[in-house]
Amino acid sequence: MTAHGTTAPGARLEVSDVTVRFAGVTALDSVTFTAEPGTIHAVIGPNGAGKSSLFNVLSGIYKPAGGSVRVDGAELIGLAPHRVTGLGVGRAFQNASMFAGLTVEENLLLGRHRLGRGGVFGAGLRLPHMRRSEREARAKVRQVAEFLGVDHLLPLPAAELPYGEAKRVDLARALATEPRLLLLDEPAAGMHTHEKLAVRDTIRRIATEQRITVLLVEHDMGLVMGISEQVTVLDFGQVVLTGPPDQVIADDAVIAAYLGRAGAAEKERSESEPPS
Amino acid sequence: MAQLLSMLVEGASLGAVYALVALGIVVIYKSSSVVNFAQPSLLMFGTYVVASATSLHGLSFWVALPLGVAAAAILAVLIDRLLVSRFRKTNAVVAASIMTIGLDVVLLTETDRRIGSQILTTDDPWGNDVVRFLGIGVAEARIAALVVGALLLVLFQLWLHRSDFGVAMRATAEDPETASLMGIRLGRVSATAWAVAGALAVCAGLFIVAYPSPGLDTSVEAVALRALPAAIIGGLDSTTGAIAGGLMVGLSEVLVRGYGEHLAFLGQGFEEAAPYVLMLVVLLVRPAGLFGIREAVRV
Repeated sequence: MTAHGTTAPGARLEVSDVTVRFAGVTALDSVTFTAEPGTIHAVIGPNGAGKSSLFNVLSGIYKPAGGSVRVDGAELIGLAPHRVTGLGVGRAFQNASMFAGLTVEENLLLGRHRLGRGGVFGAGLRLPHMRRSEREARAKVRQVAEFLGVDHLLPLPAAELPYGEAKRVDLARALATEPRLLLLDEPAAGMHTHEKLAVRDTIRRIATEQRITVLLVEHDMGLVMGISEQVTVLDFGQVVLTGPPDQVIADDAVIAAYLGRAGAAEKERSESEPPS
Repeated sequence: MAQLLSMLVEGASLGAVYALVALGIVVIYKSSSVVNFAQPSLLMFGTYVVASATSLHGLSFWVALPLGVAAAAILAVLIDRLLVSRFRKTNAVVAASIMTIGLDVVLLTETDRRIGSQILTTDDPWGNDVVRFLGIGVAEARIAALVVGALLLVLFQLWLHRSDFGVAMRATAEDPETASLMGIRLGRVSATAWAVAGALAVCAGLFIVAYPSPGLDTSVEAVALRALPAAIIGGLDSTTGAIAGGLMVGLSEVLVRGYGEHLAFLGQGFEEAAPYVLMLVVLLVRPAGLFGIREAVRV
């Protein structure tokens, strides 16, 4: 996997004073934190704390009422989703939204769409530089698929993938966009213990081998505390604390916010949260 | 027997032409969930550009053809950019679809005004020749329609299934939001779909006005409209369905006309209603059309 060592290093993500309101409800209230390049930064909090809203801001779906989000200094707020992808922000989904009508390889090639050259008709006319660009795209897709151990799935229709493999392919698709910042929305949701261990190793390798900044939303505390350099705790749309895992675990305010009030509800929560 | 064979050839030929127009409706629907009722006006506009260039300005067919195709494609992209895209922000696809009905009426009024009572010919290379085989005679233009139509349909399917853009379009059809998160520009996908739909409509229009039809007059728009039942019969979101629907409409029209004397109880000119009756029957059995996935009800 030496080829991945040459990937551009991860981006610094600076979220400052981001506020999102829906019809009087404040989903995010002056949220501020910074994820350092090449680190794994987790965002945790009870249900409804604003994690999904934050991800939707970071991928350009929600326009916040105020605040700024910078990816290596470039402002992200106000950009259409496809331009956010262009800034180097990749996203894997909680429910692994594969395009069921496409093969796994086509799903991954989609991630390369913006990186291809030659446009619509070039592809139809099979111009030489398009063929080269397409060959490169397929090679890159295979490389990413091998990195995540899903290369044997490439020719299959995405609709046929079992849930766990769909999650891995979804992650591969996000990586195929060559992100500098990777947003992972509950990558271990609904997985067995041994699958969670594999997910943990994969995320660690993405950060260490590819030096991509990873922003992680996850409910599994063992996973979060085991791999994150920094953890931001959200509650009722506000940042309770940002710090290293051992500090977060020991913090009284976090225990009150996270375990005290919502801990019980959290345990009862069914594993599939409504899609964000 | 010879009569049936000749009707089958003619029906398939007409069906291939309808399929081209229906394909335009399907590709727009797939890319933006808008049903484009203005497809007949795109056909009329582009065909008028070709016919007026050849019969009024003396250009050769091969010069006029790219002009007409480009004109319809540009008009289609303008419609998408200036009008349909305004509905996209609020996802008001029903309103946008209905808007295209109004647009169709306006554009047809203008082409009708320009055509007036003239019958314009396109000076196409097939002329008035008739090919004889297996004891039947078929206009060369009908054979050309079948061959060119089939070729365009195959090329289109290859494009949709092999090219980078085709993958992007199919992904957009399935889930626009996730597609845009993958870096796909929805506006560009939609504009391309409209351009392709416009171009296909002109190719179809040129065969509709070829021999044995006398040429382009204002009655052609009613013929073009039959692509709509074709698209719906096949399933609005299926390109394979558009081809199947086109063939079914073409065959039903020609067969009903051919056996008109046995169907006299239905009245004269029933062949023009036949595609719509066929559509009603198909929808009763399969509300999403023969190959469709999403129910047409959603639009």
